[in-house]
Amino acid sequence: MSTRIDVATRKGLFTFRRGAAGWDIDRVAFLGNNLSMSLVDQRDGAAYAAVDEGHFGCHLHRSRDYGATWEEIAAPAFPAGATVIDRMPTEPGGDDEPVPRKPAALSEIWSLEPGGPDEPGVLWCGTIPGALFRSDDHGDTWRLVDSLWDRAERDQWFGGGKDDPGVHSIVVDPRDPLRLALGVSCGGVWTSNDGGANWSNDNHGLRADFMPPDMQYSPVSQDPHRMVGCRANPDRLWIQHHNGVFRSDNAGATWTEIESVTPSVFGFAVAVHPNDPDTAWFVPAVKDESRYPVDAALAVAKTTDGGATFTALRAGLPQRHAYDIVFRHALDVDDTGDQLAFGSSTGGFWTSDNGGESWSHVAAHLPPIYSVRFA
Amino acid sequence: MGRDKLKSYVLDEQGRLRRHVAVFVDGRLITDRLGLSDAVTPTSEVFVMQALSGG
Repeated sequence: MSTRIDVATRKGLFTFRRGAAGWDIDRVAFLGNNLSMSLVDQRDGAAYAAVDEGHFGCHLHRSRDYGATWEEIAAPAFPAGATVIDRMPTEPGGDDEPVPRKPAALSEIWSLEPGGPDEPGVLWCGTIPGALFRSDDHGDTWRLVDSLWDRAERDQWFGGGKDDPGVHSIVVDPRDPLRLALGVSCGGVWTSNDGGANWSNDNHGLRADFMPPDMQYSPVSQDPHRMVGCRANPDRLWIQHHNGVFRSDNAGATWTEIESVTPSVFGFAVAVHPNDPDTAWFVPAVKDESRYPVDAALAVAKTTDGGATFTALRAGLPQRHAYDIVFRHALDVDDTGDQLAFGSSTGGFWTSDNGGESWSHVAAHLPPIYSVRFA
Repeated sequence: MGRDKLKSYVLDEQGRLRRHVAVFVDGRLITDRLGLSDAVTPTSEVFVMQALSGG
């Protein structure tokens, strides 16, 4: 059972520890800074923190003493000459003009995951603009994964809420770390069976209701807000998508839309039970311009039967005038599947010891929470 | 009057397409967001979509 949770927020990295009296803040790092992501690598205990210094760019820090001290390491960087489509140009174009492009420069570290158990030092990093980077040396150096970057379809990706698209979900198959799956907003699901040498976006079943009718099933136009895989059955993937919930039983090749989520199918976050692929949690909200909990009452939706039915769990969660949104990385489940934690856009933080049946309000006034991870 | 009201949701007061509003002409994202010079035919289908995500 995990006794540590790292919470990355708009104003710092908060580490919670579980003691005799329950969860409490043990340490605050980078206070005042915008933390987009954090990671504790279970293979060696190293911690990583992605710090957005605003005007001074995105930077990556590593701690090898459980967060007592941090050292800045290399951040992923795009090579000279790398460009992305400029969807918000400042100069007029036209039918005769080429689609405008701009230099690719790191604007956000959006996902950070360890490689396989037998790949010490391998880290994967997803970024905005949308790209995948790999490190083979615990983050000392990074290289752009060209095989994905060079795919022509990348020019069809587009930003969701941000100017540029981004890679927010990286699922590494624990049986075979050469099998990877990426979630891209907005660029769909990309899978590799060879460690990222080749990529496929040839999947079926995802639906985008925000696209013109004849493009709604285009795999490259999808907005999977968050994608997670089940440790015990890595072929089972869950997606909280912009307009629904989807499940795959074949590692992302085909997807089934789940329409029975209560109280709603809109949301950002999803977590799957590590030992039971049919059990997953979501934090629904009113779609999609509004984005607040249904009836302003916070609920976690849980299924234990693969999405056939859902229960809205509310015990311990605010049921009047609650406007908490849970961002895509801000819900997590621990290795036992019993402990859950999530944090909200308005700085509320809750934990559960019983699979979400009841919740404890651990912190009420944190900064906006971007990422919650058991360590 | 109704047209001007609608216009203010899609374009800003300088006539530029608002950020994070996407316009498709015949299934293709337009390329000229400032001058709106992408060609349309009398039978073109134009979709104005809101962009996504954020929170």
